[in-house]
Amino acid sequence: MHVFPGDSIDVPSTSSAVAGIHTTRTTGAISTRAGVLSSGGGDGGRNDIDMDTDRKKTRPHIHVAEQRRYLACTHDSVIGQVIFRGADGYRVDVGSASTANLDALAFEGATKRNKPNLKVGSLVYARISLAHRDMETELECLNPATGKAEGYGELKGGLLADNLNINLCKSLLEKNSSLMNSLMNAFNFPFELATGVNGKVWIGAPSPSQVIAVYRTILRADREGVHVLTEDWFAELDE
Amino acid sequence: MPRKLEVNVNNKEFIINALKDNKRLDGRSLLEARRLELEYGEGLGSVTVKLGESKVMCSVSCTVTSPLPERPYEGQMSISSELSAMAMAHYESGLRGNTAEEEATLNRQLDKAIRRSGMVDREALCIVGGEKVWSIALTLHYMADDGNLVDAGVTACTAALLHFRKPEATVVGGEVTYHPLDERTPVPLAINHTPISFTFAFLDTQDTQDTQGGGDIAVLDPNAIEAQLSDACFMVTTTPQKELLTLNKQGGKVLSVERVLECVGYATERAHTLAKQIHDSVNADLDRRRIGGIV
Repeated sequence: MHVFPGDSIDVPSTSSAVAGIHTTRTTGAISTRAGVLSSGGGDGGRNDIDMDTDRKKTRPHIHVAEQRRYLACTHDSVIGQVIFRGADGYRVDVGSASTANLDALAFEGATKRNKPNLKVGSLVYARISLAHRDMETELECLNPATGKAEGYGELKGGLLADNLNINLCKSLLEKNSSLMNSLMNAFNFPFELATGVNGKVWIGAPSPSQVIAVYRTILRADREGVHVLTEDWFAELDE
Repeated sequence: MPRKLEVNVNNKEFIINALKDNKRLDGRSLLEARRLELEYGEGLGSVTVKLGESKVMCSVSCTVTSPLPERPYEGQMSISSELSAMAMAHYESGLRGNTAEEEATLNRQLDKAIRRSGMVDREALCIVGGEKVWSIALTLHYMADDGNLVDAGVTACTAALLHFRKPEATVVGGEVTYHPLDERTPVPLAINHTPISFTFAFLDTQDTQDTQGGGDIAVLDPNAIEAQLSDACFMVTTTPQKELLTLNKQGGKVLSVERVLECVGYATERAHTLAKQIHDSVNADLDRRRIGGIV
């Protein structure tokens, strides 16, 4: 169902905030964005992009066709760039309206004596531990339940593709992502991706030309859609 | 208002190392420009130029004014452009900060390449000497910025001026009659030459660990990241007849004479092809309009 900002929408009341749906006692649920309302539950269709966790599966949300501006949301995995180094933490740009704080102790095995050493300008893969409209966003580079990094931390080397469509990034995290499938079918070399749902994808591969090949493919899919990634395109890349 | 971020260290190192291998992120070779596309608006003299992801729109309009007292037989020409958040989110309007500075630089470069280079014969814009002249105004809108707005802007101005037609004015006994576009075929401007500009960015490869590469690497038509990483930008404007119109260097890096000559040589070689592409595209669109009966 298409909705516009201000439309009353019929969704079961949720305790946690969902981007695009605003609920008050007097008005009920109101959409704050223009897009397609998905009731959650997972219809398995292409529009249902928030499929990476079971929790999100049941949540209604508004799907906006092309969004590049990121709104911080708790539990999102994001890539940020360190813009300031303070005494007990870092200020990180994740591409949202405000900067985010990353505590120096929010890393695996970090203690007061043994803190990670990130330079200004370096990239971190982190998850958002707190997103609130009146507070600065908080990041962490570990799973607080286990204390393990679980893939989060500084991203070394590689190349960052920036300013991507947020839906494309979310689709990369799906189990059966068409972009991921075509990347894996087309390239016969190992490569790594770190996908931030803030529209950033970090690419690592053994050689620079391989990184460039993956980078250009992701960028092309972002601009023109996954369907343009034909054999012709991969042949062109090889030249 | 998002800030403009420094390029992150990963990309910086990657891009510079790739350049040492003669590779660029978008698959171009070092001295290869991005694909140039021209689109035409509804009216004459309205052109949108796409240079890769950079996009600039230029529209030309004309009015009748009185000439400057010191140049009674010359028409006037002005170029105005404004960088707004439409092109890139970190641009802010108003006369402060870096945006105003960038905007001024851009305007100055366009002014030198188009107006002061004498692309349009200004005496041909005279209607009645000392009394009435045409004033040609070029307005540029930067719609998307992925680097090298200057080249895109110069191309847009050149194409728009070639595409533009002004209404015919006849003078009978000091009485001027302006003929609307549907009454008489509008007349093209008197064009002296076609300015074509080439911008080279110089990236220092010495500050990474590997010093054996040494020196700097020149890339043509830098995109936004390359421009941000560069130490100097060098712009050459020439005509297809290999006349040099302007040279403009920004940034602190010292360029050797050989480097400058290389760039100028490359630009003069390439100008012909690019000018032909612009002329062909403009003529094709004008032909299309004649069939449609507009002109």
